Amino acid sequence: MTPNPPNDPLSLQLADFNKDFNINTVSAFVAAQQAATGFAQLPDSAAKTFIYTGNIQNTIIIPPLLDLGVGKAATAHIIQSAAAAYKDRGYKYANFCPFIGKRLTVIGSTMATSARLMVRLSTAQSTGMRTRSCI
Amino acid sequence: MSTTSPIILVFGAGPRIGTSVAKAFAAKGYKVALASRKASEANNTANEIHIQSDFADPGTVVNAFSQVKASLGIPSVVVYNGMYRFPEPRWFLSLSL
Repeated sequence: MTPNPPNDPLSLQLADFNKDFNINTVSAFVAAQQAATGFAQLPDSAAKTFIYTGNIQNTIIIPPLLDLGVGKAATAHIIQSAAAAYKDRGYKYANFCPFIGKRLTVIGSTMATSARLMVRLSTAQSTGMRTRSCI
Repeated sequence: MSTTSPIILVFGAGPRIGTSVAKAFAAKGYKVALASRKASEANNTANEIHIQSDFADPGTVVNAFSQVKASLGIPSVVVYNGMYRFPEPRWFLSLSL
């Protein structure tokens, strides 16, 4: 993730944009893909859950973090698509945003809570249709 | 043969979210695979393996799945934390959500 000047987001170097897009989106896509291939080989009782850690930039813009916002919004779209398409196979695809509803200065204390929520997600029947705008 | 442990694979298993997730799932009987840039196989145990991966290269994701499958089995839970840490300029912290 490469920060850009808040008033000049397009000054971001292409090389940085590409690298961060690979990290935030392309690799996430491959992970989602590989996960599905694996899920297909597991019994019905398996959790078959893929969770992407998104952030609030799905819905608002944070000026110095353009490429992070781009990557996470793009991946949120992939997640939403997968969630709908693979629902009947019992695969759960979720976009999880640990910062929603919490003050950003309390990042540390949300870790354990996020982890507990992920465990709950893995045992849930479905993730519902909330995958676009975060859990 | 229904006593095998389920497996979770966590990408971007940094010191914060990664280990929290690993702990929470391990408590539920999962075996854990953690993939990150700083992961070291030297830290592997019977129930937790570490896979060095740089996600700037999507090929490393494929490798990570191959390694988990070979060492522990097919993951039934996959968590992808691509980019978790980021700078916190003062104005960012003052945002009201």
